[in-house]
Amino acid sequence: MSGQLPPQIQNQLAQLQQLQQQGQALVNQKNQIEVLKKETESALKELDGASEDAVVYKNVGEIFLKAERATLLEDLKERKDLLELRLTTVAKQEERIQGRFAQLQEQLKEALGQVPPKGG
Amino acid sequence: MAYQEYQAEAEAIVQQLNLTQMTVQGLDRAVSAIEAMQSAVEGQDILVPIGSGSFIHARLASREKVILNVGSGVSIEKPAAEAVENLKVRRTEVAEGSKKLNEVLAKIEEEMAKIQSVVEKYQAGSEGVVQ
Repeated sequence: MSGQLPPQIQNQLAQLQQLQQQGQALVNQKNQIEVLKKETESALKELDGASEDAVVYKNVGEIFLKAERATLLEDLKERKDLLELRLTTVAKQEERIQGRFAQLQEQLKEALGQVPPKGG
Repeated sequence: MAYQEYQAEAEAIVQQLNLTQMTVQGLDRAVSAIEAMQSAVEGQDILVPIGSGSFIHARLASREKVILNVGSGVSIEKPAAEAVENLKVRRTEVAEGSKKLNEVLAKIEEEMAKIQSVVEKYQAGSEGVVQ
C-alpha cells in the first residue's frame, strides 16, 4: 500500500512511526523511574520511622554492610532527588516527542489530502 | 487489532499475577521461618540456604532479631514480632493488588468475548453468502 505513496510521504510516515516508538520507550522509562521513586520513598519512610539507634544495613550485591541510619537517610534522599530529576528530564523529552508527532501528523494529513486517489 | 491489544494486555496481567503469587509465597515462607525460629534455641545448629537447594551450616545467634529488606538496597533490623507484622501487612497489600489485577483481567476477558462473538456472527453471516 505504502508503495503507491510519494517518497516524501513514505518518509514522513516512517518518521511518524519512529517517533511513536521513541514515545513508547520514554513512557516505559518513565514508568520504571516512577517505580524506583516509589520504592525509594517507601524505604525512606521506613528508615525515617525507625529509632535513631536502629541497626541498619546497606545491601551491596549479595552481602549486607552495616551502616549508619543517618548516612542511609541521606543516600536515599539523594537517590529520590536524582530520580525526580530524571523524571523531569524524561517528561520534557516526552513532551518534545509528542509535539513533533502532532506536527508531523498535521503535515501528513495535509499532504495526504493533496494526493489524488489512485485506481478506481 | 483491538482483540490483539486486549490479548497482549491480558498476557501481561497474567505474568504480573504470577509474580504477585510468587511474592505472596515468599512472604508466607518468611513469616513461617520467623515463627518457627521462636521455638528454636539460640546457638542451635541451622542450615542457611545459599541458593540452588544448597546450604551452609550456621548457629542461630538471635531468635529475636530479624533483618527486613525495606527496598532501595536498605535493610533494617527489627524485633521478630514487628517483622512478622510488617511482612503480613506487605502480604495484604500484595494480595489486594492481585485482586485488582484479577478484576482488570476479568473485564478484558469480557471485552475479548464480546469481540469474538461479533466476529463469529459476522463469519456465520458471510458463510451464507455464495459468491
